[in-house]
Amino acid sequence: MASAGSGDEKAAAAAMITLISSDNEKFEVTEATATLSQTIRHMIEDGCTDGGVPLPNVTSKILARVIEYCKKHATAAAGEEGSSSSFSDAAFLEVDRAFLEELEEFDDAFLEVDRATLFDLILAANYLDIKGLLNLTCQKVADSVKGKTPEQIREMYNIVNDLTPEEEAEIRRETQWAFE
Amino acid sequence: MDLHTDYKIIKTCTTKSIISNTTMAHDEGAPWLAVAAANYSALPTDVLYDVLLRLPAKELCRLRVVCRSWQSLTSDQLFARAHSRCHPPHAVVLGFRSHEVRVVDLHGRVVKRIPIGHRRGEVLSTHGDMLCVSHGWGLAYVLNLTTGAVVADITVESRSKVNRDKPMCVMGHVPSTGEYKLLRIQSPSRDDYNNGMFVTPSQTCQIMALGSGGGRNRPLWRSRPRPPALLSCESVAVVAGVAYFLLQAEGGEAEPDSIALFDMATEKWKDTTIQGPLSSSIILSGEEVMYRTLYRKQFRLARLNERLVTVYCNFDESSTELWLLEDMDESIWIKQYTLQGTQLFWDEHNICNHYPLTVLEDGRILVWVDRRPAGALRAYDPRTSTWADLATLSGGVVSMHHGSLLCSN
Repeated sequence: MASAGSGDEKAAAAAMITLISSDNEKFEVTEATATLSQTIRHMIEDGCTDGGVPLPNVTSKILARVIEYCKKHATAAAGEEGSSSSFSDAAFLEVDRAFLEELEEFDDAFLEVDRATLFDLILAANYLDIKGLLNLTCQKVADSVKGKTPEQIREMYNIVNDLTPEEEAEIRRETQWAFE
Repeated sequence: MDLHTDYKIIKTCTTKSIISNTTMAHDEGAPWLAVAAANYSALPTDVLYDVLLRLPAKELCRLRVVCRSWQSLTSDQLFARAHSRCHPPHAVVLGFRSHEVRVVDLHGRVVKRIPIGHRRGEVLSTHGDMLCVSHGWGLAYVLNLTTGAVVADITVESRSKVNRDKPMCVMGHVPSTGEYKLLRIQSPSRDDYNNGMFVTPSQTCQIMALGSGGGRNRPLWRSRPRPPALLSCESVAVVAGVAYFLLQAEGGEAEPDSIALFDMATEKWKDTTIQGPLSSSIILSGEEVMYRTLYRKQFRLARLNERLVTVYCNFDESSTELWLLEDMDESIWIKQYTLQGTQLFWDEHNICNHYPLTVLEDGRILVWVDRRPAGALRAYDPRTSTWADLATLSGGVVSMHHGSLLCSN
């Protein structure tokens, strides 16, 4: 089993999936990268990825970024699984920490995008069901909302205030503690 | 990014993501879904939900005036429940002479201040959002932490009859009906001792449901049978609608950790008391035979993550033991935690009480250490047997608040 298995594993690692963006661009990615998306993982399990996976909600520009994220994080996941007894505990922790720091730096740099791109990334992460990416991008939006006035938020996100002045006054009265 | 971008695509995304079920358990029939969708933002509702869940309660309350959909989303009960699960709990502090109740985070930073109309006060009991506060003999009311409103005045009708001892009010929540109930135990007043003639002291028991009777002003107290044994007025805990009382141990009739219990749903006392985890007796310690005497002061009851716990100050070992009630009928207790290195005295006469508040998500036990002039909020890590100081607070931590402060249950 062990000797035969290693051959199979190699084949699995090399298995490529083709993703097709809304503007019909094709991206070849490894299965390990693609399966960070639960949506694609299920499609692979159901055996319906032959001939490529069409993603009509994701443009090539956004898909390229999503794949960049998945590649980095798939490597990180593989690294975590692979590195076991070859290091002493202390050395292992050291490597681990360096790895996590690098990943954090990557994530920070990855989020340096304009708001429209950030929203598109959220929509893609949501549609493709990539938990890590969805967490990362949602947290970025939440951080951008923190400390802003309601007016600033309406402006930032083009939200029309549909509350009557009376309703607004009532809400302010009820939640007065939050304005102190 | 424009909100009014391609709504069709957004709508498709929303439906798909709900089906693919991202991170939250959603109630698809929740009314805010429709409302929030009506003001269609560039983000699908469930993503907006996920984003807003990450913000602290104060921020969310401030941002309710952004628009109707944000208001209805953040006022929704399901959202509030999900929110409280995503954020660490708060501690509720009643300051000394401060005219306010404070809700603080685990670093002692004030999240919310609730003004109260008096300087001296004592919290008699607390449960969920409700705080029962006394501000003088017989004077007491119930405060809702989330709304900041007084929901019931529970001042005793004839204050002259009130014993000078601390009034004993116990607040509980009955899970089966969702009601909050208050139990009042009245010890005999000095007048009852009838000019030196000995009268067997006994306690009376009354109950009321919040929201019953004359609303805010005069809730209806109803008499219930007397307790099966004399209750100690120092320690009580309510878990899952059952109030547990330590008994008075003077006279040697009961062990200092024996417990009487009252079912708040059926409003009846259990006939038999339950045995505490320890007993004053001959114990075998290796080859040695020793006699152990336990004192009432060494025990305290607490609710810890919806379980009943007996807190035992072990003076010999300088530790605090937390015994979980495993089986009520058989009085089976399990020593779940031993908090090593607890400072049990804050001077030569006074016990420095350790109140376990909650077990945090990372497994650490949050403890309120009551000492003067300022108490400490500390966390004990059972894996490393170490303490971490989180905050020093003047005043007393009275309870944890696990709700979200967004809306009242």
